[in-house]
Amino acid sequence: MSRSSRWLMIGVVLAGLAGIAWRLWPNDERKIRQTILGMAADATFTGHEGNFAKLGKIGSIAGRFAEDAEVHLEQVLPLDGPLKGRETIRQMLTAGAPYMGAVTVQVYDLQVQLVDDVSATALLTASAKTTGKKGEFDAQEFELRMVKREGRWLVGRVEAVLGYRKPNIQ
Amino acid sequence: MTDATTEGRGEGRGTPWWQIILIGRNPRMTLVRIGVTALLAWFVFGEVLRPMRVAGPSMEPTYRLGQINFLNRWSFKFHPPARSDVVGVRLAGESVVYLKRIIGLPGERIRFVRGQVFVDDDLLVEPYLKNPAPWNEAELQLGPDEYFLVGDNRTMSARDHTHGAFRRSKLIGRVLL
Repeated sequence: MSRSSRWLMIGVVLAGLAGIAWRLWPNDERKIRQTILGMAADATFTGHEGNFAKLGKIGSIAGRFAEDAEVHLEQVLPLDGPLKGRETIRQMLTAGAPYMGAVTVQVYDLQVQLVDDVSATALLTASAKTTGKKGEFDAQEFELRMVKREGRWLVGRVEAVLGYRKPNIQ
Repeated sequence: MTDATTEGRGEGRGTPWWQIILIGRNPRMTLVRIGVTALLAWFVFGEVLRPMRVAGPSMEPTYRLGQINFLNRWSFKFHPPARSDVVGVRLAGESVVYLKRIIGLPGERIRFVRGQVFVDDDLLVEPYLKNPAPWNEAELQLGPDEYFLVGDNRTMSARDHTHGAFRRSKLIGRVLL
């Protein structure tokens, strides 16, 4: 084997090892992305899931929130106040499970910014598309505060970003 | 037996017909053409004309669900946004955009009375509006950097219809077609 071939082979092996390391040991930003994208995948329903499968997905979504998480949707939904705590979020989702049809949730333009070792912010656009003849599409901008608890990145706060001034509808 | 060849002159002479179809008589020039075309396509469709597909009902019937269109991201470089322009509005990024019509310009006062729009107390004529609905909204004073945007589909409930005062920085460009 010539000298250049040997170096080429070493280069290929090193690149392969770097790729494996990148996959196996993601950095904090990638872990946060995985958490958020995983949540979107869990929030996607085909409409054919049974109740147990729905509850499993809801459990997975709730498990991505911190115990003291807050969800602020008052800007965009007629709610009295924020949802506070993982259990409240789980209960809300569970209550809505029987009415859940086929919906595809996707995340776009996800921007993650690490604040320090245990907190980060994420800005994203989430879309929900229902299937069927009267398929509806809606998109909303969100700002998330992520917190690291026991080595896991969890959602600490969700806030719907309005992005414009609403008129006073009478 | 010999391969079929072209009878052309110059660089094409002796080149198999299949090679001419695949990479032309002069492969180097073909590569340059492909490169220039790819660069132009990237520039035009990535930087200037953003392809998009209508996904929501708020601009119906002007723009229907599933219609393909382009957003001219350079349109505001030469002319500021104007009334009745249909524009794209960014959310967290530009992957998903709202499609809305400008009905109010910076500094103006906008009010809906039984579906009719008043700009600084003057009635706005909206020929693009096919199905007006009796929306009533209190007057909204626009800031020096704000535009009032609303969709053409006023048959929707005003509460379900995203509309209001958007900052200039949110507007990406005009819709081409």
